[in-house]
Amino acid sequence: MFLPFDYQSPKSLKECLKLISENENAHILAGGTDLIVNIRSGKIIPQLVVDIKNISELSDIKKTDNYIEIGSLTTMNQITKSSLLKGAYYLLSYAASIMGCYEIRNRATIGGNIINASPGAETLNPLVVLSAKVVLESTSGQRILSIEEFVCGPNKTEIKKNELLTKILIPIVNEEADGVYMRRQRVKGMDLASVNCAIFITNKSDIKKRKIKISFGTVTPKPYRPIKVEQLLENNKITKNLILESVKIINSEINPRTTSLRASPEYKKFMIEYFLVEGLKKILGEINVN
Amino acid sequence: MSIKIQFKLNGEEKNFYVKPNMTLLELIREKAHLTGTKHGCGNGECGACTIIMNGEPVRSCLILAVEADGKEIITIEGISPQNLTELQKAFIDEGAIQCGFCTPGFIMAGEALFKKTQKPSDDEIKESLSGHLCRCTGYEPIFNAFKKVAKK
Repeated sequence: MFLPFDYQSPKSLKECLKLISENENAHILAGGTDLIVNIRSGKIIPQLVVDIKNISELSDIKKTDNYIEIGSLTTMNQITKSSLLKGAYYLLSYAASIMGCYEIRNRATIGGNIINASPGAETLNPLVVLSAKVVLESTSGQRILSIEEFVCGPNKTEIKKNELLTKILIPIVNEEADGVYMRRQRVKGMDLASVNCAIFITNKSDIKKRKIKISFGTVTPKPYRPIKVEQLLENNKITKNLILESVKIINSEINPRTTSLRASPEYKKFMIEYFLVEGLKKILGEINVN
Repeated sequence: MSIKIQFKLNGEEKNFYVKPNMTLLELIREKAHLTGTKHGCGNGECGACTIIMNGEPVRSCLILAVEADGKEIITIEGISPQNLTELQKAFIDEGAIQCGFCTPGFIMAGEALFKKTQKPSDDEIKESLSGHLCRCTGYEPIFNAFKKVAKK
């Protein structure tokens, strides 16, 4: 049994926002797969747990004119099954499908995965390369931030105490686009990512118009975007030299922790080249980089 | 503060008064006295506490008891109270049980899997086993037991 706390389960968003604006030490309970673990370990000692699972408007995926809108309470299994997250957006659904194990995915939510902001979080790299935004609501209104601005570091985001993450917005891509998500972990079954990477390319067959977005996980405290490398690869023919130069730039910018339990800095640095080559190959087809 | 909750446990309507800081696993074991569901790691990693809630397998150690209000819950005791299921028989035939601590979790995962698909592929079986730890068997006999049921 944990230290005592109070529990509220608001039925509407309005009720929930009022509750968290009035209670400094309220903690949001979504899927619970991080919160309960943190309460058990003593990392979080809540006075009030606000269970948001009864706010039905937070758990669906829908398409609007400009965005695919994912409610923050949408579970990993719902994301995996969604017919809206296919094609160019499949990388997000794939990332959700390999997170934890089936039972965890039945509870774990995308909002929780973002707020927990683990450096290896499964959904963060795909969301970064898809240029996703988060919608934060409070009694005083709404703010929208890009996922890159929002996530600051392990367990740290820009969210304020009185705000609730309600939606994730994924811009609809009208151009030809494709993406890939890759990860390595210590064991093949259920494990956290040791190092992971997402790549998203628009206009892949037109080298002049091509746009590339890349994001790596666990190599810096928050998802790392090698912007110089994106620009380098975007409108140039991809060659062995270009890849080697990209790897050099990335390795000069990243600083993986030596104390990481999951992979050494050497391994993470080694994986950069592998992910770059494999990811580009998967999206662009055969590229000659030998 | 205690909160009154009502839910269906293995087919029977139940009422409990629970404190918010009690997990569903504690409620099942200590208040409902159904000790088939095991407390392993307490962090959602080992799978020993797996139950079926509203038709889907979940980790009862990561759910608060209050969250069970209005739900339908099935534990290992409730899947087939009179006879052994095909999967339970296959576990015995294949020697998939040694100490037995992890077994209820595996059986619940199997229940959910076979409800979704009667003939799961090897990969689907492995996927369903992947969230469960067994320190005795080396998983092979457990996989074989699942295979045996999948073939029928």
